[in-house]
Amino acid sequence: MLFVKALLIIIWAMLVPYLIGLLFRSKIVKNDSQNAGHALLTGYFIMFAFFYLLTMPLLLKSASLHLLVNIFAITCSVASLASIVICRKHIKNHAISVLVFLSKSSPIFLLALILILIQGSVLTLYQHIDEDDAFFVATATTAVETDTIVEYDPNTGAPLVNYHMRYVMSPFPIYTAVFSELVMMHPTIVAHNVFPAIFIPLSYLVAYLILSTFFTRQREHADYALFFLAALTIFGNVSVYTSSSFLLFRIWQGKAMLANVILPGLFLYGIHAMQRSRMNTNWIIVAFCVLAACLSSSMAVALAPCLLGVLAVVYAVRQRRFTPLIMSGLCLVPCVICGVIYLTSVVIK
Amino acid sequence: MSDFLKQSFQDALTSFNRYEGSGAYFTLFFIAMIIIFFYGRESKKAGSRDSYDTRIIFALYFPLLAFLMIINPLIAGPIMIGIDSFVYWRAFWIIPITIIIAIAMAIFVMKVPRGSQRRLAVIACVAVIAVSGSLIYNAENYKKAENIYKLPEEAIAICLMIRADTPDYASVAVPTALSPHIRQYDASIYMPYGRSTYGFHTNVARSLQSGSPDLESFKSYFDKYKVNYFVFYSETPHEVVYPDWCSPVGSAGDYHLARISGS
Repeated sequence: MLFVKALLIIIWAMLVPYLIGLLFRSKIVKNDSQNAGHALLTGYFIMFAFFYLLTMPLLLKSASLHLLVNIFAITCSVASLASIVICRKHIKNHAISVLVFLSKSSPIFLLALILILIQGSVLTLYQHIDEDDAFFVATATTAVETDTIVEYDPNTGAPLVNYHMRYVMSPFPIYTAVFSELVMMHPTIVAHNVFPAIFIPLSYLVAYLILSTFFTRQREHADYALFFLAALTIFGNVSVYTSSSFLLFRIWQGKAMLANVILPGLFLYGIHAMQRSRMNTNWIIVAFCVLAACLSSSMAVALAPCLLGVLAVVYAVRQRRFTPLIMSGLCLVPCVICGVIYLTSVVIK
Repeated sequence: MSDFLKQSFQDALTSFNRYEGSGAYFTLFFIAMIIIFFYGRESKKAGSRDSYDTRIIFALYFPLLAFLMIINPLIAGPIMIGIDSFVYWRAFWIIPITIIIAIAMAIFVMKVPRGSQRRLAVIACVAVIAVSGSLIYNAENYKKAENIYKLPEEAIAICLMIRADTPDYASVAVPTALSPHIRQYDASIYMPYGRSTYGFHTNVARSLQSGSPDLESFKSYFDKYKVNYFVFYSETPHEVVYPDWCSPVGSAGDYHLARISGS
């Protein structure tokens, strides 16, 4: 049984996002020369965006959790199977290039990998008790127990009367619930054991892709930077509010995902989209990132526009073009909608 | 208007102080931007305009502008209306501070000749990180996992005792230390209050945690909220006098579960 669960985790946390990302990149991003890391990360953003777009109407319709699980699982499975059929050549190439990449790794890169693995495994062997889990994890266990989507108060189990709009509009705990159903595990075990092992390395993947963007064709530089980043994170408890603290304390919560995976991802693909003078398909990935941000935390309503807005202003001034501003504005429409709903709920209160 | 802006600026600065902690990482961050600025100029001289643009936007213009925007009251003020100003420190998450410091350190190390000199440079950088930062792995932040759920053992034991006692409706009032954990383990168990208590709920939760709860005084509260189990903390449970409307079910460490009769 343990083997089956481990296999399911590998399938839903690694294979499915990778295959979906690969399908998108090979069919939509034409002449894509990016590596498997980009495929995996893009796949995650697509999955999160799709999950958000699927969850919101089902939530408003008071649909059951198992309906959400079924639709999500079937759609992702079909996309993954299509990817295996259509992109089998790419899969083989990626497998070879990953092996070559690892075989050519410098000692400093391996040292960085060890530090990252230690960080991923500490939360499996040890525990950090965070009282915010009373909401974030209990929302997932409540959803599984009642087979509903955010209809019961996770604190008490009573039916929700006054929706806390900030939390309803960012249903990341429901992703935890759905994932736990897919891998046949208790949501609390998934949140406290499985997610750290997946999302801590994922956050380093985003960081490494950012470093590789800065040090284009200078792998040794990027490897050293990754090593220093891993060390900075381990010593990053300068306050409990830093993204490093959130990464190593409570990565299973949506806000920690926002700080460590989604905002850096938005930064990465924002740069990729804006640094090219012509319109390009990276903007679609930026839009996925924005939707993923809305899924993860209500803070995304303010932070995603701030990040993308500043980047767009800098590029617009530098390139003397309005395209970055216009395209960023279009990508940020989901944040605007969520923002209006939040503000309306604040005013009504 | 000026009062609003003044207050917003003050709140933004408070958020910054909260976020930066000792301030050492932010100092490294500003030094890193200077290093990257000169490195960027070198790559421009080397003739790679695209690469210069990416680097300078990435590690200089963006972080600087983002920082100025976050502490600007004209922007901070409206954002703080939408979100609680207490969590405005999260705005600093948009600046990839540690990534920029790591880049600058890599640039510095790669300037040093290979071999023992470079190894020394790496050790020096790690020493700077260790001295500036604060190790996240300490006994205060982590402890050995008690179970695979990563929840206090007592909370799980209480849930199991309740479910062994009844498969039906169960609503339990627990001390403050256990309230965040019960429904993470078993969401079929109801609670009259969760982690954030208010009003009389707070009195009940605190009293159950106090070590010497006045059980008799809770009866009307339990009836009102349809509570049929409660847990109290006591290091001397044998001294506790159970009123006739409740009976002990079991104990988990210093936490004791009681059933309310007739409910």
